[in-house]
This record gives sequence, structure tokens and C-alpha cells, in this order.
Amino acid sequence: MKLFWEAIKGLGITARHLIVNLWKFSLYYVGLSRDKGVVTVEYPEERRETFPRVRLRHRLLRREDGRLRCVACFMCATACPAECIYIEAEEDPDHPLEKRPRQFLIDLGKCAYCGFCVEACPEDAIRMDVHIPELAEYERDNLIYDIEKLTKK
Amino acid sequence: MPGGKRIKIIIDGREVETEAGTLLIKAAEDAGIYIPRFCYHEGLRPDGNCRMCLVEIEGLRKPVPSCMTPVKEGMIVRTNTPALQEHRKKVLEFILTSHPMDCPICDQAGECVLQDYYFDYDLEDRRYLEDRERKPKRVYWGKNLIYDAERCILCRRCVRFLDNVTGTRELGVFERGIHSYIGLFDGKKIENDYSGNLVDICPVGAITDLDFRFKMRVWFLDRTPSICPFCARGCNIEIHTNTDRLRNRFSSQRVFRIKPRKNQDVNGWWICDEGRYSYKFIDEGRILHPMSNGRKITWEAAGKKLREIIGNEIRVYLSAWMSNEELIYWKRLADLLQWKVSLVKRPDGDEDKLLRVKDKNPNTTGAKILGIKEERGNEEVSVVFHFPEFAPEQRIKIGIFTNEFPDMEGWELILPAAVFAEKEGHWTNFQGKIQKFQKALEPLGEAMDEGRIGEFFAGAFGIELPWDRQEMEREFLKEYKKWSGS
Ligand code: SF4
Ligand code: SF4
Ligand code: SF4
Ligand code: SF4
Ligand code: FES
Repeated sequence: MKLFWEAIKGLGITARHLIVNLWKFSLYYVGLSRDKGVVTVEYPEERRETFPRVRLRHRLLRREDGRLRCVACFMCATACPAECIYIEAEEDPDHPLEKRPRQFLIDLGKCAYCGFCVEACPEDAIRMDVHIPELAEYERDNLIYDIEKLTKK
Repeated sequence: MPGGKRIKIIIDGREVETEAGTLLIKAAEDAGIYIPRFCYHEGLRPDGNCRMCLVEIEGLRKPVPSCMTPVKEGMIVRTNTPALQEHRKKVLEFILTSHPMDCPICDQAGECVLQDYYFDYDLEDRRYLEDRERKPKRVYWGKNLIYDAERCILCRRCVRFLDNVTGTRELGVFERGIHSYIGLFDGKKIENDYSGNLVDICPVGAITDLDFRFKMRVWFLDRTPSICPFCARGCNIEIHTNTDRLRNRFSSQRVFRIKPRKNQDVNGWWICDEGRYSYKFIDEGRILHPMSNGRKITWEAAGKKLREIIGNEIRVYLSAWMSNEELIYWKRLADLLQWKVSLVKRPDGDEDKLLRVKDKNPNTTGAKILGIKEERGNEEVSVVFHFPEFAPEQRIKIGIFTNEFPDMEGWELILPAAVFAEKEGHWTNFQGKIQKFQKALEPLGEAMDEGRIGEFFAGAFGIELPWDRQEMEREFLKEYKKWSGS
């Protein structure tokens, strides 16, 4: 019997939310109020605005001549608390900046999105997105981003 | 000057006892007081050109270079007064007017004294705003050496090394003043067998090593004291490794470089190029599983194969690459099972006056102490360590090897052994010194050290002989005392 009353109470709360929010939103809709009430965002057609402090997936930037800005100095890998950056450096025979990355991998499955790598970079070669939150994958290994993925527009 | 007169001096208020004639910078270092330096190196003749090591001596009007000043009885020395610090800051500022500051792409960063001293003494922004002097970068000097004239601080250590140590004199200083650089004399390339040491002694990143260049930042390396196995001198080395998990997923390289470790009785400060650059076999072409006639098998199957040979005449060919402990353990095992024992080793090679000796094995002396001789037999079964080429053509060949070789099909059984960097132990060098090498890495695949493989043999043959390295070390020392006493 007690259980029955609890269930009724629960349904009551749900109903109250529905009615109150419907009322608030109706007033907002006809322009009588500025309070929208609680409304589900219709993702992906509709997107909430991200805050400027948000940090999402990484990007590797290029110089004007098309060369990666990165000089494979490992500063980001050194600063990274999650140890999720793997760099393989090589000689760049034709460029005055002697060193470039042959491979540059970030395991976004391990990344803590702290942004230390961006701070550490002396070449402004790595930055992080603020707007595009899509990072879901079916396989963990697909979250290991290589140069190709990290430079894609 | 060994055996010289003992004298007392006072450094920074501390009384220090030292030998007459020692250089002040060395006397201070031995007493635990480090005086910054660029051009002084213990293994080279002092040159006094960088002025970083100036100290104040009571009674003298001006500071003097401690790397050029021998100690005198009763000297009172100060090494770290505000005036000296100010002076060091100026030396640094002067060097940095023309330094490229490309630390992010410089292999020396992290072990660069210029960086260290900058943090210790300078920490100021640049005041010299003219364009920096441009000089040649990436100059190839021969062997594995790449020279960067912009980073060079002209300490002349490299020039002196090739003069004082190898005597080959390939390098000199060219031009003057700010245009100076180190260059090869006409028609010369650096080709001597000790070239890699130039990379070590260069205090900055002006000489980099093609073999190590850009492979790894130095602060990611673990350093393990070890002994070089490539000749009987047994130079003291450090193995620099990285076994980071994410890294090892994409690259099989674990050892990144070999560096010398100072030991004045054996190798001084140096190692030869063979010892420095021959480390690749540790990570490449290793045998990872027991094999039978070229096919991979399990350890259980290997044990069964071993039981099949019980009852045959057996000779084991121990190798001069095994440690003292392993040799004595295997000798005991052989005695218990009435096997014959012989020694196999790498053939003799080049020698020179500096370090390299003819015998290209680390532990020939250890084998000699235990009375293991190089002899051949024609028993039905031979168990061969490390050197397949020594196997007599018998019906049954059993091998304990580290690296793959061409005709592995001809072997009844091959067991994977750990290389020296994957185990600990001692070798006895040609001088009769027992030297310890430590474990830097885990054995690759299913490889085991020779002691544990011995235990595996004992188990298969149904006897009890546990492998206890420390116990064997003590046993070897007993034999060693007998040998050195007689
Ligand atoms: S955001 Fe932080 S955790 Fe992620 S890669 Fe950069 S430094 Fe590493
Ligand atoms: S810190 Fe910047 S330049 Fe250095 S390796 Fe990372 S991304 Fe490249
Ligand atoms: S030599 Fe030292 S200071 Fe100069 S670029 Fe290399 S690490 Fe930096
Ligand atoms: S190359 Fe290195 S060792 Fe030689 S003078 Fe220049 S800084 Fe000194
Ligand atoms: S170390 Fe003494 S002058 Fe260079």
C-alpha cells in the first residue's frame, strides 16, 4: 500500500514538471515571459552554445608554406599528464627547421582534455577545438588520432 | 701526480685535503664543490678558454681560472661570491648573443650545461638586439657526427680530444672572433674508432649523433649501469632505454643509446664506436620462443624434446658471453650429469693502444678461472651457447641463442636466451676485474636468462639444482680467490 502511494507521488512530480514547464514555455512562446522553462535540446539539429573555456579535440596547425608547425620537440608529450601523446621525429632535409614529426598520435581515449599540451607548445602548433563535440567511436583504437586526422579541416 | 704530497687548502670555508699539483677545479669537485665549466674536462688537457670557472683566491687581485690553477698549500679559495656570480652571468650573456636557442629541436636539451647554467646564473632577457651571426648548420663530419656551428661555444674540447686522446687531429678552429667555427682540416673526415665520444664531451648541442638524432628526448630515458660486452676490456657503460607503453605499441625500439660511465681503472671516460653503436641486436632479430627445426614450439614441448636425449653422450659449449655466475652454474650442472664442457667465443679482432683489446668477448677470463677450455668433441649431442657457427656437425644440435641466424632448421631445439641488458650478473675482464652489469629491460618474448634455462635443463633431466644468482656469485668469488692467489 505504501508503495502505491509512493508511485502516485512520483507520477505527481513528473506531471507537475510537465505542466509547469508547458505553462512557462507557452508564455515564452507567445512573448509574455522570458523564462523558457526546462526544454530538451533537439540535438543534433539544435546545439547548445559551448563556453569559451571548453576544450575538445586537438588540431595540428600548418605554416604558410604548408609544413606542419610542429617541430617534434616533445614538449606537449612531456607536459601531458595522461601520457597519451606519441611522437616519432625525423630529419627534415629541405627545411631550416631541421626536425619534423614523422608520426604524431594522440590517444583521445586517454586524454584528460586539460590543455597542457597547447600551453607547452613553443611553436603554437597544437590547439584544441571549442565547438565540435563529436568524438564518439565504436572502437577505442579509432580514438587514437594521427597526423591525418589531426590536420583534417 | 699519483702519490704526490698531501696538502691542505680551504675552499668556501671548508678545509680540503688534496694532492699537490691537482687542479683547483678537480680538488673542489672531489670535495663535492662543483665549479661551473665549459672547456675543462677531466680527461683532456686544460685549455682555460671559456672563463666560466673563475674563482677568487685570497691574496690575488683578480679572479683566476680554477681549471688552470694547481693547488698550493694554504690557498684560501672562494667559488661562489656575488662578484663571481655576476661574472658568470656575463660570460653566459656573451655566449648567448650568438646562440640560436633552438633548444626545441636540439638533442642536447635536458643535459645541456648552457641551459643549466642559464637557470643557475642568468635568467635575463637578451640585451643584444642585433641580428644573430649566421653560421653553417648540419655539417657532416664523418661517421655519425653532425656539427652545428651556431650552437658551438668554441670550448675546443672536441679539438683537444682528437689531439690528446686519439692523436688523429682532424679538427681545428677556423676564422676569428665571432666568425670562428670548428672545421675539418682539408681533405679530412673523422674516421677514428672513438668518434662517438665527441658527442659526449661537447657541453652543448653543437655535435649531435646521427644514430640518436631526433629519436628521443633525453629526459624520457632510463639509465642503467652496465658493462660493454664487445671486448674483454669491459668498458663501463650506461644503457639508455625507454619502454613507455604507448611508445612500445608503435615502435619496438627499447634501447636508444649507449653512453660511457667513468671508471679510471678500466676505460677512463671513453668507449669505442663498436661498443657504442652495436646495441641494435638487443631489440632486432631476437628469438622469442623455443623452436624446433625452424618451427615455434612451447616450453613444455621443449622439455619433452630434452628428455628424449637423456642417455646420450652430451657436450655443452659454454660461451665467453655468459656471466661468471652462469658459467659456474652450468659447470656444476654438467658435472652432475657427466657432460663434457668446452668454451666457444667470438674470434679475435682489432686492438689499439687506447681501449680496444684483441679478445672480443666479455668473459674469457671468467671461463679461464673456471678451467673451461676451447676444445671440440664428437659426442652425439651438442648443446651450444650463443654462437651457432661453432656447432659440430652432429646428429643432434641444441642451441641457446639470443638472435636469429640463417639455418635455424638444422637445429633440433633452440631456446631463446636473454641478452646482457635483460639480466644481471658479473663478467671478469682481461685485467681480472670482476664487474657488474645490471638489468635494464625485461627479456623479450619468452626469452629467459641462461641461469633459468639451466634450471629448466636440470628439471628436464630430473635433478634438483636451483638457480640462485647470489649463491653462484659467492661460489665464483671462492674460485676467483684461489685463482688470483696462485
Ligand atoms: S589535453 Fe592534456 S591530457 Fe590531453 S593530450 Fe593535451 S596535455 Fe595530454
Ligand atoms: S609541443 Fe608543439 S612543436 Fe613540440 S611536439 Fe608538441 S605540437 Fe609539436
Ligand atoms: S645547445 Fe643547449 S642552449 Fe643551445 S640550443 Fe641546444 S639545448 Fe639549447
Ligand atoms: S663543437 Fe662542442 S666541443 Fe667542440 S668547440 Fe664547439 S662546443 Fe666545444
Ligand atoms: S673551464 Fe676553466 S676556463 Fe673553461
